[in-house]
Amino acid sequence: MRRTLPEQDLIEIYRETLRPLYAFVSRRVGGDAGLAEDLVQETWMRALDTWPARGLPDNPAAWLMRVARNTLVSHLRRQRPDPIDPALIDIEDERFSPAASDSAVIVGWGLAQLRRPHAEVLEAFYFDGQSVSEIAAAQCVSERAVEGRLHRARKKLKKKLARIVRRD
Amino acid sequence: MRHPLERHEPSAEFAARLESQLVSEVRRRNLRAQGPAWATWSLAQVLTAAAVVVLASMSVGGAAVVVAYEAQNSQVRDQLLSNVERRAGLARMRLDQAAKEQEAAQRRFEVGLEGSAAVLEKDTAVAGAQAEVDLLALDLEEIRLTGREPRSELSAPRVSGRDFVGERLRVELSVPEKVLVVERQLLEAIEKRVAIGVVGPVDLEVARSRVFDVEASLETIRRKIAIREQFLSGKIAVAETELRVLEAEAEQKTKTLAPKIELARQEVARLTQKADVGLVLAVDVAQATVRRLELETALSKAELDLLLIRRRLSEHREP
Repeated sequence: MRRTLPEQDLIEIYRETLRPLYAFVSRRVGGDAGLAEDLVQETWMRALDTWPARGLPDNPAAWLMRVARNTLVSHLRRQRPDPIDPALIDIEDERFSPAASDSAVIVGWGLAQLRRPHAEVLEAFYFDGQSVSEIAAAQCVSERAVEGRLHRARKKLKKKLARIVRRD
Repeated sequence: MRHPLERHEPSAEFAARLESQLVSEVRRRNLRAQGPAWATWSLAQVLTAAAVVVLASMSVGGAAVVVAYEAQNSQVRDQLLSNVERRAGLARMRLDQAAKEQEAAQRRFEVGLEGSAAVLEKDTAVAGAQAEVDLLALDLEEIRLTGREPRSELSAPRVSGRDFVGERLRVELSVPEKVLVVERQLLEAIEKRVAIGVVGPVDLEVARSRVFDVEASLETIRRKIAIREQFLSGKIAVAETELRVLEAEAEQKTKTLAPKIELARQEVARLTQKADVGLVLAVDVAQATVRRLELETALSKAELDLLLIRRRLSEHREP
């Protein structure tokens, strides 16, 4: 049954969630403002499509971020990045960070090819800047388990990225 | 250049633009969910609105040439184009997503994991998304030709020989056409289930009512296409065109309310029987009765509006 959406509630949710949602998306696209804005806008359009029928979610920010992530993954899966210099993407180097838009898009593309549990642990580590202990607390597992997951996820990601590494 | 710390902060301009877009979008959707705006207006408001539409159409027609030249301002056109192009990009994303979901549902159906209803629902979503892409493509073409917002009223003139209003109506037609196929298939499935006693006759009536709603919606769009053709061929003037649109919409409203009232009556009778044996509360019966009365009031109002629109039409034909 389609219901109307209370305008005031929607605006309050929008104002409360815009900054965290935008930051969530922007970090995953290396600060590419145009792409981040398109993704945030698309996420909100999906909220307007869904919420009148299903009602407001219990945690709108979490809902929006999940939808934004799915939209970004769909977007990245359709892309095929240009070949890259392997020196730029050394994901096993502890100092590596996908802060620039080029490397963020490439890492994002690689993560979009991975299974969700692997992708999520790497996203939390690379894009949300969470430490191993924070990820462990959020996922209710031991730090050792997170380290293991990170190691395995990095190996999988490296394998995916090997497809687009430039061979001179 | 942004400060590095502000890299992941939305710009104030974007925040304000998206908020404004969301507010207007939610208002538009809420209005659509509540039915046509004019259906809730008083008689005087309907007539005033009709008069305003007629006057506005006449004045816009007279000033169209002047406005067209003024609006050729490339900055305005670029802004409009950029906005619609962005929406078109998102619409294409939605279409891709809908097509993927449809394919996935089809695969699940083929291996028996999903019923045909889910596939039909995804088919409809693809048709809706395709229509959105096509409508935005038409908007882009019209903006490129005129440099201003696309016009949707049936009395709008052709643009460089093209009938964008008619083309849009034909695209809009494709959605209820698809929905009708789906709803008829669902109705057939429910008829079979009723025959073997798996579902009750109320579900059948609801399904019939949905088919009827879509048929009425299709008929209204087809009538609008016919009105548009009459206007373009010079058989009817601006004022009559707009009144005929109001008439078509009012007729749709009265037609679709009648079966809903019948359903509401059946629901009251069903609940009353259950209340008599203590299976539901008296308050449930009262709620269903209020719902029935609301629908009956809406029908009376729609019939009165239709009467007045027709009177205005006859006055217009016989000055």
